[in-house]
Amino acid sequence: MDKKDPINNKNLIIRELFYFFTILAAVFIVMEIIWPNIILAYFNLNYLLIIWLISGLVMLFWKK
Amino acid sequence: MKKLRSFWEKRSFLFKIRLILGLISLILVLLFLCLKIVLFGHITYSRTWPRGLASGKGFIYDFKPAERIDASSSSLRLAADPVYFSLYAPRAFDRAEITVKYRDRLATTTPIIEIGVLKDKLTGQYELQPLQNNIVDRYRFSWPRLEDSSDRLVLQTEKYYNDVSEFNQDLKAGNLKGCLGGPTSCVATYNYQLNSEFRLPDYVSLTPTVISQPLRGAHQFYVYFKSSSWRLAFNFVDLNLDKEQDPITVNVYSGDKIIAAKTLADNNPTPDNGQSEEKAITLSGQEASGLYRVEIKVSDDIVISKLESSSDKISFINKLWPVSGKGSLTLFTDASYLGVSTVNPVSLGEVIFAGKNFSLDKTYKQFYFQASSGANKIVLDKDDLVLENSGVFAFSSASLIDPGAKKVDRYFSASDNIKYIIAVYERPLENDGVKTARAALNLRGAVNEKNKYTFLISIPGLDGLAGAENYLDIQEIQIKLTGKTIFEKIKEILRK
Repeated sequence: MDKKDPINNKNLIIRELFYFFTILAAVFIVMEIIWPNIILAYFNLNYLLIIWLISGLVMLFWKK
Repeated sequence: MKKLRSFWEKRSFLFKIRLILGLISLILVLLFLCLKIVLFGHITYSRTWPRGLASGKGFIYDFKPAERIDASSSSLRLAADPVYFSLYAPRAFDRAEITVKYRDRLATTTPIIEIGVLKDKLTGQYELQPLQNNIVDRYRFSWPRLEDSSDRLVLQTEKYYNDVSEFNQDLKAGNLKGCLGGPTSCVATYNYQLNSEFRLPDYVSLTPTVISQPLRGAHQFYVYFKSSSWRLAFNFVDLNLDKEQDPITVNVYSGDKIIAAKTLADNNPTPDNGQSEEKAITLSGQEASGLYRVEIKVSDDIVISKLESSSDKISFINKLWPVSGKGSLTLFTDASYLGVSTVNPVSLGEVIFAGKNFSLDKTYKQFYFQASSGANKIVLDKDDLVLENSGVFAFSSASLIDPGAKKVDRYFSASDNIKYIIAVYERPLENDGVKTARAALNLRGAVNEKNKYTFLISIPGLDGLAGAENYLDIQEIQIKLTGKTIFEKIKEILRK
């Protein structure tokens, strides 16, 4: 981690986590459309969308 | 290692975090793809009650009909027969090994539990395998056991045999000790096919038979030919009550081999005028002698309006659904019980079975009537009733032919004639009141619609609704699927 600017790094992690969950949710949804039940059989995508939403809200309000 | 470290140290923080998160995404996607492909050809899915922390939809789901089950407690309670469920399988498999853990709260009148997979969507035919048969288990401990292996269980009333190979030899020759009328007269079977040749040496074929009583849906019958040539002609009526296609297939079997077959495709499932259509199939052959099984594979939208045969020995196997609305009808069966149900309120009323009057007062309910063994007469005031049992049905007592051995079903009682029981069945193991039963099902040829297999749990005779006193509490269902590995699949594709 860049020790010189910890606040900037934290913002960066939060932003990247939001991107990560966005891409993951999109990929999972596309996979689910192509092969129904491939994800839903194991994991409820609603939980991922909730985490994605939380990460988005955190990114919006955390910025300093 | 040093190079890797220097590479890592030179990279920016943004690059590092993106690399880590990208790798995590890739691993997750690959993991789900591997689970979809099932690389090594075998995978186990399970469902427990209660479900715990599992968040996914699961692979074993869609238990129905809802009024026969109760999933609100810590187990899945089955209160009526049958119950269906679905198994999501990411691809096709060849075999399913099923393990069911349950608490048995069933009455003595419901001693059998079976599990099956849907084999034919058109006829609704399931391949069933036993999970529990208390009748076989009762005799297992009271009769001398000749063989008790995972392959077969052979019980005998007295110690006729001490050696299994001697028994097998005599069974093959149709000459079992204590059986004067051949194996089918003294052997009761469960989940076992007795391979004995059925002959009617004194049978003389008199006149061709015409059955003009309309029969609805899929049927199977035995027919005995004793002439150089044979002929079967069928007239059908496609009711066109639904918009589905209704193909008609007639297969004639000698043993397990198809000797003649014909299929009529339904090119016009929704005629403009919405009226019924008439169709016909004729099958014939030369040099037929012996017993044949005829399978008519149709949906319930098809009525067999007329059947003509060059033989008068015709017996319908396990099920008969006479329809016409003409009224009174007399039939014969060789089974000691009769299962009757109807969906038509007009058909409710009295059924006379073996001289006794039984009342049929509810639609969508299976009624069971019991009588003594032997040929029993059935008199129906009204038709459009589905008649079912483990024997055969015929329109005259002289036509009754049943080459099969007596089945160890829930009405079985070992009469004087029965000297042996042969079963392919492993009894469930019990631990602290929880029974664990296993069954293996062949998935080749099973209906796989959108990666979904349909299963059934059958407890014949269980007719209570949710909340009834007798029920089955299922705690876990585990299904191990096995099929071709991905490497075998690739080899197969390359060979083509």
